[in-house]
Amino acid sequence: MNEKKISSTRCVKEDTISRIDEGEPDDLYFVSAGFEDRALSATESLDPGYEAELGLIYVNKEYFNKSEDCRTRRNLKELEELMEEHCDEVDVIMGSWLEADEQLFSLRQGLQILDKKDSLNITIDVTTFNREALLVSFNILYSICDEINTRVLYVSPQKHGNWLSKGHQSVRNVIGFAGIQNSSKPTLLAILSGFEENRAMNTIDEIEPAKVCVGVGDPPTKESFLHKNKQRQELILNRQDTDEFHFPADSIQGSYEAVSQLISDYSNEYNIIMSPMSTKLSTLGMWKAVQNLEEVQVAYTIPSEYNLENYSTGIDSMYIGWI
Amino acid sequence: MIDISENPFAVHSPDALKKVPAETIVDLFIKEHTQLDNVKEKKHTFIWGPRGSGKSFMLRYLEPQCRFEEYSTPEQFFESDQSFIGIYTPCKKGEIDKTELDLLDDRASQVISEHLLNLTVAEETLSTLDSQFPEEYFDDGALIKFAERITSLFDSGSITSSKEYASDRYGLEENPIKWLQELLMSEKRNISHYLQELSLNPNTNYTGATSGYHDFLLPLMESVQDLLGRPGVPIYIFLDDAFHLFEEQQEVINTWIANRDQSILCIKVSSSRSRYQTFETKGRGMIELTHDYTEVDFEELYTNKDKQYAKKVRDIVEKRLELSDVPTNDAEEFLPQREFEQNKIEEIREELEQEWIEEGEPGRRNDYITRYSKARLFQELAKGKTKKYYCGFDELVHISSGVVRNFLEPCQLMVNELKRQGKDIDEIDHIPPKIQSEVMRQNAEDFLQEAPEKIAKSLSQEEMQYLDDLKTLIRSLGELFYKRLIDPESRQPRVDSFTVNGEIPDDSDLGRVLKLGERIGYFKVSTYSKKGGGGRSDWYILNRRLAPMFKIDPTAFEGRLTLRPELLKIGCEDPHEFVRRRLNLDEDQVSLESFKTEQ
Repeated sequence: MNEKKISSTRCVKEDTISRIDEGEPDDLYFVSAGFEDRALSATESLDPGYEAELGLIYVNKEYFNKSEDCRTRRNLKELEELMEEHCDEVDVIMGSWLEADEQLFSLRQGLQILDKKDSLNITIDVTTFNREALLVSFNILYSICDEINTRVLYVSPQKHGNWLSKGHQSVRNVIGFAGIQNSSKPTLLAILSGFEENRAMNTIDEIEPAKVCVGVGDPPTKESFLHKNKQRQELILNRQDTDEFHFPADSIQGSYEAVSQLISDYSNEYNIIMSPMSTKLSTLGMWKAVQNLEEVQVAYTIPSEYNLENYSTGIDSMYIGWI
Repeated sequence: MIDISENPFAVHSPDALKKVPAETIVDLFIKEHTQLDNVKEKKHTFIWGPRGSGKSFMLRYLEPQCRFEEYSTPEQFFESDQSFIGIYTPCKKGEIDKTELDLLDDRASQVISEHLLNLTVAEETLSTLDSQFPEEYFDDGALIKFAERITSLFDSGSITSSKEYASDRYGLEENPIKWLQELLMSEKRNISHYLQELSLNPNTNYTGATSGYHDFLLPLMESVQDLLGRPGVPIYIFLDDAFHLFEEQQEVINTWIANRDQSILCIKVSSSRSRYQTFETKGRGMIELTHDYTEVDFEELYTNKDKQYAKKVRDIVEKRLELSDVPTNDAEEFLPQREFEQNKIEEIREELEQEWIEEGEPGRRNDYITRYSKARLFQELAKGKTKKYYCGFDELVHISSGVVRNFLEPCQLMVNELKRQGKDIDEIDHIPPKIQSEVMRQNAEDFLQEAPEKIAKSLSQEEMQYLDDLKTLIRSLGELFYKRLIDPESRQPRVDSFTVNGEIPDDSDLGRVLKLGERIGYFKVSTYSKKGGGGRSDWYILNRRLAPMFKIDPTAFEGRLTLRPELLKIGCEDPHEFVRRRLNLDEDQVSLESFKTEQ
């Protein structure tokens, strides 16, 4: 099935999302209640006749409990109301953005109910999942069942805030992607870069690889930070060889191909660590490329702070892709 | 590979050093001021130092390939007084500290961790034997025997599949080292499979091999000694960047250290001190300094107290200039002072000499001139609204605050800037003072903004909430030191430190702000003897990397201010009010303490 992009003016009114198999409801409609406005957009675009047996809403407890962030709670409530119109049952998975084990346990428990199925039709709005939860969810879903048909919805914003995240608390491997490192090989860190240049620099600084490959989204998400317009960037990037590669940020398949090529080019010489920091579509393209490559590690950098107030505004387009 | 001929100040990440030839490492390494002899001793050692202080470079320098390079042949090295085999084992982020280990209980996590650590050390050992010794150094028969012995250290039933995996790729008889490397790789793969499976199914059991200290690591190292035919030569395991390990993994390392088998195996742990979380062992005992280990500390913050650091930086710079294509090897020539300021300070010194006579020759003439000349320069520059340039080799050494990378990296940027302006490396005979100063100012600003991120991992949410107060306090202090420096009436203008007159409980807000400042590195905290024998008190010295940001003197070290806790609290909120109140106090000069009288 082809990937499709729908402009914001049409995505709610004209191009609605119907069932994957017209004859029967989807097995799962899965969404995250993030703090951004666009957390609701895909669900609002569901066709009135859309049905799923199970609706799951993932939410990070840190935002849900944050007193100054009422957006997450409001989005969760609205998503519950919207999904009750389409799903036989709606459950909430309360996970954790900070605690990797808690995140895994909650997702595993929430998705366990699907393991009795022989095949699955899943529609997932990936827009406001944190990337780590998204990757862990896909690992679990694809371990539950061999025959899965996954439709991915992603809503891009009109505008991002001046900053998205600040600082970093830690860098860790995403559970399920520990990689196998050969001690005789140096490390290559490949970053699918987006808007969070500070987060990318912190990741390079923490991992201190022998080589960095910076993936620049094409169409570009932002001018590459490789231009070293800041002293700290220049210092960090100078400590190792640094190369650039390109990937289509708006395509799962295109990102899959770009990452597969990169791994094929470098895996003989380096231990590879992937760090996805661009769109969720490219994150899934990377997931597809590395899901069966046990040597490759996927790293996730936890920032100290997200721009809750002004992370993104408006809706630009909705992308529909398939795994 | 990063090429030093293209930029004499190029800094490599520890991982990138792997590709730097032994000859280059030996050429570039400066032995002085590294306490190298202590590290070479047959003892367990902790090597403390912030990132960029040269720990990794030193450990690389101690690897066999560099020892052989320096001693000409392996035999000459092994016949020397302090021979050893150094196995560089980086604790790279994500290699041993796997997130999945959090899914296990502490005991199980420690067992898997120790096995993973052992496999990593064993892999590095094989890699060292394979790539750092001359070809055909080892006898084929001895290598086969070595591989068989190492294999026998594992439970044979547990490694059947790994043996098959290795044999599918290499023959044990034909290539024993490669065969063994594949076997170890397969064991790592088994751990990885288990951890991956564990993430999907909590009931997964680990059925692979495990290994410990006495049943694997120690006999492995004895086997290396046998292979070399040198039972008296100990193996040193250099665990670099051990701060990346989890606490329970550090406990494993501490347990190895507690065993005290130094005639066979010495553990040399390098880490930043604040990020090494525990000295406990697996059995909840503690390892103790002197008793169990020695330590070497790379941190040298008081550059004018320790001339060795300046000498070391000079040696490093001049060695790098020599190996690059720039046309000079002289540090001062390459990093000159600003001519205008040099002339100005000469004039000031002449004036001060006259003034000293007119004042009735108080104290020694040179002391008088030294005390006031630099401050007078800042005052005259401020009066004429002329910008101070932070430049010149000596001044940059002071600003680097005892961390070599803090010196090299800004210089690297300066060279890059000249190259961007179109100069070839062989045309760069000096860095213009203006460029030096611009880079150093930006460097100071970045340090203030970004230093907290370096230790954010170990900061609790509670500590993070004091960050804004701390940054305001730093600005308050910077402004206060600047105002005093440019005040011609100030008797001790060159001050960059303070003590506290009054109690600050550790659990008070102010106590936490000061503690956070120390952890981030904005302050170095020392102690001094109180007047009248009243014990010792804390003494906070502002990090000199910040000097260009606040336009203060990075070479200042002649006194300290005494501040009351109430005033420091104001400093956390309102720099202007803080400075106003403190300068009013100074009019009486009641609280100014002389550094010299209390030394």
